[in-house]
Amino acid sequence: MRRADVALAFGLAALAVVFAWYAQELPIGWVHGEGPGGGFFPFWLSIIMGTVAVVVGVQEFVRGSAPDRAAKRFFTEGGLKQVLLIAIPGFIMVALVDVISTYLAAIIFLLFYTRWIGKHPWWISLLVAVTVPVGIFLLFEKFLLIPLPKGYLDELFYIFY
Amino acid sequence: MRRLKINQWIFVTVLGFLLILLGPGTGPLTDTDAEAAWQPKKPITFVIMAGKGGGADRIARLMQKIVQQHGWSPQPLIPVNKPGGAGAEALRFLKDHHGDSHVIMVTLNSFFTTPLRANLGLSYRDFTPVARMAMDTFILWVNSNSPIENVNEYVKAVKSKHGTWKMGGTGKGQEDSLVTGMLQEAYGIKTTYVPYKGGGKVASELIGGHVDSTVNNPSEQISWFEAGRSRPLAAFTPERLPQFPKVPTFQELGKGGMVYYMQRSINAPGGIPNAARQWYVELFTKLSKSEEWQTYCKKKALHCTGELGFLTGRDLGKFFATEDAKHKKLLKAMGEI
Amino acid sequence: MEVFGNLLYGFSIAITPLNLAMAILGVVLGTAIGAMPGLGSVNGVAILLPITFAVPPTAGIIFLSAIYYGAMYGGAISSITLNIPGASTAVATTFDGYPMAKKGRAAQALVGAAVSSFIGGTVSIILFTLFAPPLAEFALRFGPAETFTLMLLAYATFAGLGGGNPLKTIIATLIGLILSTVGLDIISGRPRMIFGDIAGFYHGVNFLVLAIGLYGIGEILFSAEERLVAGDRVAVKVRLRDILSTIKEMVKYKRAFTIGSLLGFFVGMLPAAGATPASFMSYSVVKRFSKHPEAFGTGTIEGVIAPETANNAASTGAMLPMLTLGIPGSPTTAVMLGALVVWGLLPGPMLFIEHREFVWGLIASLYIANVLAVLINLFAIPLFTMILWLPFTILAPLIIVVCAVGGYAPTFSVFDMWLAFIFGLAGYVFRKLDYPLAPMVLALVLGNGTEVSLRQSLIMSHGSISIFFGFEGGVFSHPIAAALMWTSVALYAIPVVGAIIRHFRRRVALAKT
Repeated sequence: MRRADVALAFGLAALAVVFAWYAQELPIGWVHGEGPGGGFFPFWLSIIMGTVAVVVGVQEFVRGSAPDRAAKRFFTEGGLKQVLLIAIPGFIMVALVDVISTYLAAIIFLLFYTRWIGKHPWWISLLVAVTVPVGIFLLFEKFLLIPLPKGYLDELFYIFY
Repeated sequence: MRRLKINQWIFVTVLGFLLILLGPGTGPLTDTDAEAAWQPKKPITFVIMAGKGGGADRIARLMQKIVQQHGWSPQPLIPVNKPGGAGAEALRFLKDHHGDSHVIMVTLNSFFTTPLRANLGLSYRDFTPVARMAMDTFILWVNSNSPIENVNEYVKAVKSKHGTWKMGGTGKGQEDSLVTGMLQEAYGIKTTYVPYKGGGKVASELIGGHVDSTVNNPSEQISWFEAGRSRPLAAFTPERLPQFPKVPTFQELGKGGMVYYMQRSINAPGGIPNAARQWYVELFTKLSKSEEWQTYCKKKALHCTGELGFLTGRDLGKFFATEDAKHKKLLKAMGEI
Repeated sequence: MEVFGNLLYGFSIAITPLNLAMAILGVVLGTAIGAMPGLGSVNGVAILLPITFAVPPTAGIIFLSAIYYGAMYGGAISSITLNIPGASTAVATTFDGYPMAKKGRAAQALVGAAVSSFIGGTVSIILFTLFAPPLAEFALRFGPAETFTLMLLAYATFAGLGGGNPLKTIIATLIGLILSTVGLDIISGRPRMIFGDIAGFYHGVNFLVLAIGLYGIGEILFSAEERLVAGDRVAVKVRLRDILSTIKEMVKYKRAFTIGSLLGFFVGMLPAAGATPASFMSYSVVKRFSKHPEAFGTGTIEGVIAPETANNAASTGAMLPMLTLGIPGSPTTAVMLGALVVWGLLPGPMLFIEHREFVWGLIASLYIANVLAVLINLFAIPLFTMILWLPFTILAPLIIVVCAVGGYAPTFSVFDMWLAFIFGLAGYVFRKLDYPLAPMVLALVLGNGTEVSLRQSLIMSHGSISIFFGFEGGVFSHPIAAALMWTSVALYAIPVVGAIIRHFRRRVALAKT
């Protein structure tokens, strides 16, 4: 856990540097008679964030993590696998949204997770994978009038309106 | 559709699959003659260049209401706010939907100023002009507690403050700041410009006494004016506004050229079929003639008729070109570009 | 009394079948929308606006305000059952609501939320009815200097939100503040923090996208690792007896109700504040004055009462400047103002005089909407807790899909769907390493208003910070700002001074021995 603590702290410090870099595109100083410029707020906050993150990193490196967690590993046994099993399909679903429509992407994702990870019987998987997207379609497109992205399949949906 | 050609095979496969699934009688997908009579086939995305609750937002939702109540469109208009980057987000969105006939946008003057001020790789020419619906006007306002009754007293008061006179307005580079710039130049005065997020907020700040004057649209101040809490000094129009017959124009006060409008127009993405453009032109022509729209204009002191009213076709293109040139000049004078 | 005459007149309007039906429909829809991550009351009101075109304005505003109300109730549901706030106003409800659910007291937490919402809302409407005009004038006196000092006061309440390491709370707050600067700098009108030129950042980082990512997706990833299966989540049967006993238990928290209602109403009424800061401030203040502050965060019903009373009180408070001045007190009321214009009414000081039936019909319907909302919510609690019966391998993918759609809905941008997932990963890591999430979300909500009001004030004062202590141009002209400033200075100083005193005492004690 200690390694993860230190890594995250320094990662955040690096992120703060990125923030500061983009913040200084606008004036970061005190514009005469106007108070702070457009970059003032993000820039100086990033600097403080970076400094605090470094302090936290050094603190955890020197002192170690809090005693109750020091012995623990960042990932529990087999935990990483469980996390990746939902995170990666989730990201793939988002990537597919703009290609094969939100609905088809959701159907594939739901089928995959309920059937192969959850090991539910087919009828349950199919029930979830079909009712959820249909419910979302009715709620968003029909009722709330929020058109969800449909990628290349846009014209296929004309018949449903 | 926009990327259909490259991926026709996906389309055909899935289409075939679906047709088998749905059986006969559900295949109105191949429109016989798209050019002859275009009709929207799915809900129309109605992009608003500003946030929820602002002036453009209200107009768009009013239009949605009128179209829906009269049943003028087989598919609903769906207002979508894209306020990011002073309209940059909306302009980009429209450009990315090149050739998409199911997207239209209601614009402000940021339609010109935003592409001029930031390098977005686009300009008003990238879009298909549909119609100009109205021109909004500007008036110089003070709080009614103030002793100032006319422009002369106003100029004297501002000068006596040596640049600490507080002028409230919308964001820098937007309409209010341009009007303020014109005012400062014409009278040789200097003010401290305090930017706010929207015109309604600016109006209430004037009433709360946090700023000394504003150049609000009449629609933003009218309820305060009617309650006797704000006082109009002069209008940035060529002729007196019928709703404010006692308020002189800057033109009358010997400052020719101090005229500024905010246009409210409808634009579609570039490259849409002519038939689709024609359909939208007809829709908005009907809309502009509707009683509801005319009443709204009268109440809000908008110009919706005559020379400054509804405009479409070639004239609209010309109008955009002159407005763009005018804004370039104004922004240059302010040192913004 | 004129007020009671008006109110009776209002009830005669609100009780007509059409208006009553609109109120019921609005409450039901609002509750559903509020419970759905990604759809808060702002979106709900904007999206359902077209439905009101078919009815007269009075029925229309009753419908919209019932949605607003329902969403405030509904937001708590997903906060409590899933640890995913349905709206920004319900973030604080997760602090104690979710731990209660984990202990098997989901039903009690839901009852607590519904009843406190009812009390907060009702107290607020009563205040509204009695004092609307003078309070409206007070709200008008809030300019940039007053707003900024109020924000400072709000940040002072953050300290209580963190975990063990205060430095981590600071980092989380800073990330939220920096994210709030993404997009456009409205003071100079220039784009900033768009990381090169990424169009998806033009509209800034939407609050809902961050909340959905950190809480929704992050929570799922976190539970996936713990392999929470149905048995781990304690699902319970809800009996009427539980509901009644909870209500009885709540009677002893009168102080939490009082603080929540009053604080919520006043903070909600002020422009630029709204229900989200109100709920947090109420949580912190109630914790400070509680008999059992140590129980907060572990699942005490007092920790549900505090934010839920305040956020409903604030949502009513926010309607006050909307109706009397035409200034929105919250994003949702800004949309409702737009609706008034669409109906052909002029929001502003003349509304009370020119459209009496509209205003009083609305006020009376708020009383009714509150009663309806609490009844509907109480009866639906068994339904809400059913979600806890779903096995993890069905619930998790379902929530991921809802979060993806919810990430898209507020801004209509697929980029934000991605962003929600990235925030989800961040939320997962932060949760594991004890970085608090709430300050990040809150700072994002408040950041923009804080920065803008700070810079507006300094433009007005030509760069002098004396404006926050009430002085502008050497004249004492902002008494409210001064009062708020000194209060927050005191609040920031107390812990520091306290620590110093304790330090010296210990030294003295050590010297003696």
